[in-house]
Order: sequence, then C-alpha cells, then structure tokens
Amino acid sequence: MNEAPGKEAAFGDAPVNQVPTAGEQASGNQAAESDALAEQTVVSDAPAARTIAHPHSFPASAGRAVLALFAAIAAWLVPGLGHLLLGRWGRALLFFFAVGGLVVSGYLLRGNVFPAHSGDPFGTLGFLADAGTGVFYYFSRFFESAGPDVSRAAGDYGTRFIAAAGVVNVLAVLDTIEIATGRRR
Amino acid sequence: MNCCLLVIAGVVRLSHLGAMLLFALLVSLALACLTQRTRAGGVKYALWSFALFVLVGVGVAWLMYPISR
Repeated sequence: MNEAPGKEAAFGDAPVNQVPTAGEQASGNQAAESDALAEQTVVSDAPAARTIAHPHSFPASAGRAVLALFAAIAAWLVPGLGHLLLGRWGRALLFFFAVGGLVVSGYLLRGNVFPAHSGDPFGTLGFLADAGTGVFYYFSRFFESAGPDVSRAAGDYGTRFIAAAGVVNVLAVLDTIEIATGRRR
Repeated sequence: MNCCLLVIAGVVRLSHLGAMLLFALLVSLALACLTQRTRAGGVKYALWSFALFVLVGVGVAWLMYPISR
C-alpha cells in the first residue's frame, strides 16, 4: 500500500490506465513492464503540466469560493437572494415564490414547526428541514399565532409543506454554489 | 370544486386535492428551475413533473382507499 504520492494523486484525478491484473503480472512479459514505465512517466508529469496550464488558478478559485460562500449564505437566509446576487433574476423570483408559497401555505395550514432541541432524531431531522427555509423559519410565530394543529389533516399537510420548502431551498443553495463556482451556467 | 384556498381568520381551509395540487405546482416549478437550464426544457419538465405528481398521488390514494377506514 506504500505507493508514491504522485501515483495516488493521478488515480484520484482520473483513471488513466488500468492496474495490471493478476494474470498479467504472472505472465511477466516485457510489454506489461513498459506499460508500467509509461504510466509512471505520465503520472510524474501530470502535476507539473497542471501548474503550467493554470498559473493563476489559486487566486481565481479563492475568489470564486468567497463568492460562493456569500451567495450560499444569502440564498439560505432569503430564498432566491443568492441567485439574485449572481444576476439570475428569473430563478431568484421563482425560488422566492416557490419556497415562500410552500412555507406560508404550511404556516396557514397550521403545520408543525420543529424546534431546535426536540430531543428525538425525527424532530432533529424536521428541524434541519424547517431551518432550510432561512428567515421564514423565524417568521413562524407571526404566521402561526394560534400555534400548530396537527390533529387535523390540514395541519399534517402543513408540516410537510414547510419541510419540503426547506429542502427545496437547500437544493437552491447548492445550485447557487455551483453557479458561483462556475460548474453550472 | 373545493380546490380553492379559502382564508378564514388566518386559517387556510384546503381540500386534500387542493393541497396536493398546490404542493405539486410549487415543487414542480422549483425542481424544473433546478434541473433545467433552458426555458423550453424547464416548462416541459415542470409540466411532466406536475402531471406525474398528480397521477401518482391519485393512484396511491386509490390504492390506499380500501385500508383507509
């Protein structure tokens, strides 16, 4: 298992060549040895080539990472704000109304809002889902002045609406990060 | 006929079908926006997703009907 560091990095980046099978090793022909030498040559050249190809990659990637962090926090706090900061107006409006519509409907249906310290695993999962709605989570008392009522089917639906809104907003946060880092257009 | 939102004293009265349609609409729009990059693709995805939400929901409701009470 003690392989050269460069070899491990190359395997992690891309599967350039297959590792010889047991049968190939047993045959011991010279072709397999020359393949192994060629592989080592490619592996040792790979990091240097990468450095030459992208001489300014670190500052650019650091800038993108900072932008992605700010956009992600904004997207979590206010649904759609991350996309708005990145200039995606249409997506921003759509996420705001989709997440906001779900969570406000859930509140008006008197769905349950899970507290941070519920004490059981399902309650913790519910809190994580609800907290995905950002500032809407803290508006729950404003909308649900009468408190949740899960004794009726509507209240149970409301609980699902709020949780779904949080999960959708978390997906929107991930989308924001991908756009900010340049992985998506 | 009972699919509309009726806001009464801050409490929404919503039928089961109405709640499902509202949920399907909003989640379909969000998923279409997340997965598709073009407007045409997004509209197509949203329509398909909404239709499948409703069809699967009604289908599961009918399957569960014998054990509902």
